[in-house]
Amino acid sequence: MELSKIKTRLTFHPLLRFLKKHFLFLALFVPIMIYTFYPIIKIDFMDWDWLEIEYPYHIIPSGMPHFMFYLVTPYGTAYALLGLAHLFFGSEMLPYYILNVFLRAVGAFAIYLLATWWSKKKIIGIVAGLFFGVSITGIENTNWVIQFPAYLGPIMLCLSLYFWKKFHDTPNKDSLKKSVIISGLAFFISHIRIYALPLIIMGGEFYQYIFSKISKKYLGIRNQHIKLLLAIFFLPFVISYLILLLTHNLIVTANVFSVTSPSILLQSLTNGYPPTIFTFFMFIGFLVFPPFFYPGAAIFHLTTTEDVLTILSLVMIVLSLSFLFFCLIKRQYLASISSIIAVIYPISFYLTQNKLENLEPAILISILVGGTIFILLSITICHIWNYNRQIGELGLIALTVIITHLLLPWASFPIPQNNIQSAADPRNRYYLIPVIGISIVWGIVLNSSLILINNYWQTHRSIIKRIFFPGNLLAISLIIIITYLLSMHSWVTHNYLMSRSSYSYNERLNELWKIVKPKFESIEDKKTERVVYFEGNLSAKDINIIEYYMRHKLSEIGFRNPYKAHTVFFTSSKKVIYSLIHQEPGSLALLGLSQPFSLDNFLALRFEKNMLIDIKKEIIK
Amino acid sequence: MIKINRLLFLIVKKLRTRSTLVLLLTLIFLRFIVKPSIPTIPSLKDKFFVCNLYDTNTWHSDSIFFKHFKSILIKPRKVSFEADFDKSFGEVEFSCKTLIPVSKLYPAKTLNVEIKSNQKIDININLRIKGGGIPFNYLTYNLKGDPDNLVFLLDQKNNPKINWLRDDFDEILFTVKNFNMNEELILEISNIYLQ
Repeated sequence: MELSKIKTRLTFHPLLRFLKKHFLFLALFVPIMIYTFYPIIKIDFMDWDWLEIEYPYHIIPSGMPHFMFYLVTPYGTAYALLGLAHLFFGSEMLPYYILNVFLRAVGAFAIYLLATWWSKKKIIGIVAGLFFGVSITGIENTNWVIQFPAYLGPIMLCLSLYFWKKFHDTPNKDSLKKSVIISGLAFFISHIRIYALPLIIMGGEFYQYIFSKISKKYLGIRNQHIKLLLAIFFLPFVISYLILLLTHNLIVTANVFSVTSPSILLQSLTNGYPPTIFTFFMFIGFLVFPPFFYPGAAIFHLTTTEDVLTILSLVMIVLSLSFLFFCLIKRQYLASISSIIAVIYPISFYLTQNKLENLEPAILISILVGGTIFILLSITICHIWNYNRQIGELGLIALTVIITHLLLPWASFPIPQNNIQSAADPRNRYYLIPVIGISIVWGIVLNSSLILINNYWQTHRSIIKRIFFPGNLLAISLIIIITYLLSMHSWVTHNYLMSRSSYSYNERLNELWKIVKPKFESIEDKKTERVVYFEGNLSAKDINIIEYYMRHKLSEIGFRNPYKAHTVFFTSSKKVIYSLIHQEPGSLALLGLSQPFSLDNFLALRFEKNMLIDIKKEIIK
Repeated sequence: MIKINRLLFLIVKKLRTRSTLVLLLTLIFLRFIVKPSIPTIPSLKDKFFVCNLYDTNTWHSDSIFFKHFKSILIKPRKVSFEADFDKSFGEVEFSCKTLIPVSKLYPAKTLNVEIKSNQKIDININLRIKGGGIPFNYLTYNLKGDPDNLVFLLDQKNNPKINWLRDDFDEILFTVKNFNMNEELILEISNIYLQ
C-alpha cells in the first residue's frame, strides 16, 4: 500500500512528468548546447556591449516621462530589460552570457513545443528546436551579449502563433481574449525583431478565410478577432508615427519609415538590376547554407572559385531536374511545373554572377546552393500541404516567417555594405526570426524523409529494393544532409565563440575606467568637447584598446544622448596635441573636433602602475 | 478561328484555380529570376541641372568654421562668396539648396561639376537630405588638382547607388580642403548637372 503511494507520487511529480514527456528532446538538446556554448565562460564584453550597457542609465535619470516615451520606441523594452539586468549583474560578464544562452534555450524549447503541438510529430519539433539552438546564422544575438532581450522575440512569436491557432481550433470568447492579448503583448515587447508578426497573422486570417470551412455560428467571433488584431497591431504604429511626426518633421519621419525608396526598389527589380533580387537570395542562402560551411576552392583541388561555381551550378541544375522528373513520375504535375523555377535559377545565377561585384566567393556559393535548395524546399512544403494539412500549414507558416522577416533587410540593403547595420553578414542579429522558419522547414523535411522510408519498407520486403529505390535513396541523403548541417552549425558556432574567447582585456580596462571616470563626473558642463591625451608604459595594442574602449564609453554615448554624456576625444599622439595647442591649420580635423580647442577643456594623463598622474602643465610647456 | 476559340475555352475550363495560381506564380518568379541575366539599364536622356546659379539665397553655409559668409550675385550664372573662416579647422564648407529627385538620380550615371580654381584643392561633394537638423551624408569624393569638369560616378563599388536612394535629395554640400590658406582662394562654379 505504502509502496504504491510512493510510486504514484513519483510518477505524477510535475518535474518528472515534464522530463519524461520531453526526454528525447532534452537528452539531445542539453549536451549539444553545452558543447556549442561552453566557450562563453571565457568571453569578455565586446566594445559594443560596453557602449550599450551604459545606455539605459543615461535615459532613466533624464526623467520618468522621457523614459515612458522611450519605452514605446522600438528599442524601449530591450533597453529597459538591459537596465534591469544591470541592476542585478553590474559589470560582471558571465551572468549576462548565461542569461543570454538560457533565453536562447528557452526560445528553442518554445519552437520545439510549438512545432510538436502543431504538427503532432515530435521529430519535427526536436529538429526545429535543435537547429534554432545551435544555429550560427544570427549568432550576434549571443555573441553581442547584451542583445539577450532579442530572444523574447522567438518566445513571444511562438506563444502568439499557439494562441492564434488555438482560437481558430476552438473559437470562443476566452480563446479570443488570449489570442489578441498575447499577440499584442508580443508585438509590444519585441516589435523590433518580430516586425512582420502582423503580416503573418493577417496572412493566416486570409488563409483561414479561403481554406477553412467557417460555420455561420463562428463567423461573428472570427470577424471580431480580425478587427481586434488589426487595432492592436496598427495602434503602436500609429502612435509611434504620430510621436515622430510631432517631435521631428515630416522629412525625418519619412526617412525613418523608408530605408530605400520603394519605387526605386521596384524599378530596379523590374529592370533586372542583378544585386536586388540576388541579395534576397543571399539572405535565404545564409539560412540554408551559410558561407562558413564552404571549405574553400583548394579542398576540391580546383584553382578558382569560378570553377567551383560552374560545377555547383551544374550540380544544382541536375538536382532540380531530378526533382522535376521525380514529380513527373509521381504524377505531381503542379510540383513539376513549379520546379522549373529551381531549374532556371542556377542558370540565371551563373549568367549573372559577374555582375555581383561586391560579393565574396563563399557568399556567391551560398546564393547559388541556398537559393536552389530553398526553392525546392518551398515546393516540397506546398506539396506536403496537399496531403497533410497540419504539417503543411506549419510549413507555410515557417516559409512566411522566413520571407516576411527577410523583406525589411532586403529593402534596406539591396547590396551589402561595410556597415554594421548591413545584413550582409550571416551572423547578423536580423536573422534571429528567419532561423525559426528554416529550423521548422528542416524538421518537416526530415519527418517526410522518415515517412517515405517507412512507407516503402512496409510495402517492399526485398532488402535490395528497399535500399536502391530512388525515393529511398533521396530520403536517406536528406537525412544525412540535415544531420551534416546540424553538426556544422554546432561546430562552427562553437569555433566562433572559442575564437572570441581569446580576448581578455576587460579587467584591465575596468581598472583604467575607475581611474578616468571621476575626472568626468566632477564636470557639469557636458556639451563642451573635451580632449584627453594619455601616455604611459603601454604597448601599441594597449593604446588601441584604451582609445577604442574609452572613445566608445564616453563619446559614443555622448553622440547618442547629448543630454547626459560627455563628448570626449582621446589621443595618445603628441603630434596631434602639439598642433592643437599651437592652433595649426587643420589641427581640429585631426581629431574630428567641431568646436575650437581650448586648454580649459583639455586633460593630459600618464598611467603608471595603475596610478594616474596629471601631466597637463608638463605637456603645455 | 472558331477552333482556336474552342481550344482556348477548353484550356481555361481544364485549368482549375490552383493550377492557374501555380502557373501564374511560376511565370512571375521566372520573370524576376531570368531578368537579371539580361538587365535593362536605365539612362538619363538630357542633362539635369541642379543648384540655382541665379539666386544667391540658395547658396549658404551653416558651418561654424565661418566667421562671416555672404553670397553675392555678380551677374547671371555667376555667384561670388565672401568668407572669413577659422583657419584651425583647415577646410571650407558651403552648400546649395536644390531639389534632386530620386527618380532623376536613379537613371543618372554621373554628377558633373564645372569648376575652376586658382589653387590646388581637395573637394568633397555630399548629396544630402536635410530635415530636422539631421543631415544624411551619402556621397564623398576626393579629387586633387583643378580640372575644369569634375565627374563624380554615382554608382560606386563600395557605395552602390541603390543603397542610398531613399528619397528626394535637397542639398549639395561642398567641402574644400588642403589648399594654401594664406592666399586667396577663388572657385568658379559654372554648371552642376546630372548625366
